[in-house]
Amino acid sequence: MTTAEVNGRPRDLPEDGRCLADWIRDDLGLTGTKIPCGSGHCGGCSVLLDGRPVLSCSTPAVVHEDGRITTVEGLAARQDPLLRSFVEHGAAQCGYCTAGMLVAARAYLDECGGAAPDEAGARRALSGNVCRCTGYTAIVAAVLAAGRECSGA
Amino acid sequence: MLSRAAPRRVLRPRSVEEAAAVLADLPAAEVLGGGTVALPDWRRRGAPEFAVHLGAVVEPRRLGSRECGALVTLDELTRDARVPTALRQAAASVGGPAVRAMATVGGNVVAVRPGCVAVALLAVGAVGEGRDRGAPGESATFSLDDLFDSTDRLLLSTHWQSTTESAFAKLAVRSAGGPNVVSVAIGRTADTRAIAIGGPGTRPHRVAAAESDWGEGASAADVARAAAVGALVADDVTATARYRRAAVETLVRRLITTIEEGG
Ligand SMILES: Cc1cc2nc3c(=O)[nH]c(=O)nc-3n(C[C@H](O)[C@H](O)[C@H](O)COP(=O)(O)OP(=O)(O)OC[C@H]3O[C@@H](n4cnc5c(N)ncnc54)[C@H](O)[C@@H]3O)c2cc1C
Ligand code: FES
Ligand code: FES
Repeated sequence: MTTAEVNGRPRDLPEDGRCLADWIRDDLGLTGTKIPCGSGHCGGCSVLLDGRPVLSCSTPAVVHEDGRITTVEGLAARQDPLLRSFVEHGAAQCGYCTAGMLVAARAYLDECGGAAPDEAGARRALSGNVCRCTGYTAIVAAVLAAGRECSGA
Repeated sequence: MLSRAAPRRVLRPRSVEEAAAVLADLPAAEVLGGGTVALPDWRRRGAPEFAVHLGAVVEPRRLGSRECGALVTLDELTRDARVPTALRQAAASVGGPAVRAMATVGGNVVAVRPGCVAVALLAVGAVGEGRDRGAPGESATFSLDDLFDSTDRLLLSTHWQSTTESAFAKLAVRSAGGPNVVSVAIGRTADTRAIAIGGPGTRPHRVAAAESDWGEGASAADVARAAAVGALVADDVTATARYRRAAVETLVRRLITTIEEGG
């Protein structure tokens, strides 16, 4: 049996070719990750794999032996400032896109490496994530505020 | 509810020889790159019983100034200053960060939907190296055209001969994931000129007449007009063929001007 680490815990990968999203949701019960489109076009299913955002609807779980996967539950468990910032900025309405937005935003802030994020960079980082409700302004504001908090700027 | 169609097993060979043998033994098994085209397809149309992933094989991961492995991701391509500019620009134009972190060069060439990196590879005169599923024991060299939409070849890497000045540009409805209107790449060495066109509904192709005009010193505007005439483009819901030709003309003119002005 091969394993991957999910939110810091080693987990047995499935033997069949189910996608990462189905494994995370159905086998591990981590239903924070959504599958809004199932076709690679919305970014809503994004999780972090070794620190990079990937579309969990579009990759089989089994090929990620020894991968380090972080879902939105993992961000919540370490009280990522992005979550509070999204609440404070009203950056979610229906919430369907939110897990993917948070994960993509975390990857971006990590890439900033402690430097303050900028709006163009944040928009580029979120360019693969679709939100049908909020119009992005609040989401980008929430990411920038959390980034300033993390960088101490 | 979404269909849960998935292969019964994803095989992960440890060497090229093993991969080639598995593919010869299981003719219906599908090679898997990053999965950004394959998994949504499986969901729509049903998955093969077996898929083969090359993640444990070294060769398709190599990346250098004249070589790009089939399993190199588009994100890796954008970050490597050794590869020709057109390849980096084409890779950077695909999807958002999560797509680029997964999508591979091999998948871009074979799936050609719409094959932005494949267009750039055509412009730098690349060929593919791999195995024919009918003759798994022998290395084979393929033209890119032989690889487009092929199900009977295993692509391991792409190679180009000389360092080329190159550039890529595309017109799309939206930057990350919106339908493409057209993509264009050009490449120049001391004695060759290449202009490649791609986009929805067309296989990436070169426009020979425009290339020879460029080689004979025609102006950027004249070469661009010839490229627009020679481009094989189609009407679809995103754009008319006429609009696509106009886009080809503009993009080719801009790219040639950029290269000739040393930009
Ligand atoms: C939101 C979004 C936006 C996109 N935008 C663009 C765009 O602008 N331009 C663009 O070109 N593409 C775009 N794509 C399409 C896609 O992501 C790329 O073409 C990608 O490079 C495909 O690679 P992959 O590794 O994911 O392929 P996979 O899905 O793994 O494979 C695709 C096909 O290629 C075959 N294959 C893969 N590797 C090999 C190999 N080594 N040997 C033989 N056969 C192989 C598979 O059998 C399969 O049939 C987009 C996709 C999404 C989801
Ligand atoms: S559910 Fe994966 S990209 Fe939409
Ligand atoms: S909050 Fe509804 S899709 Fe983004």
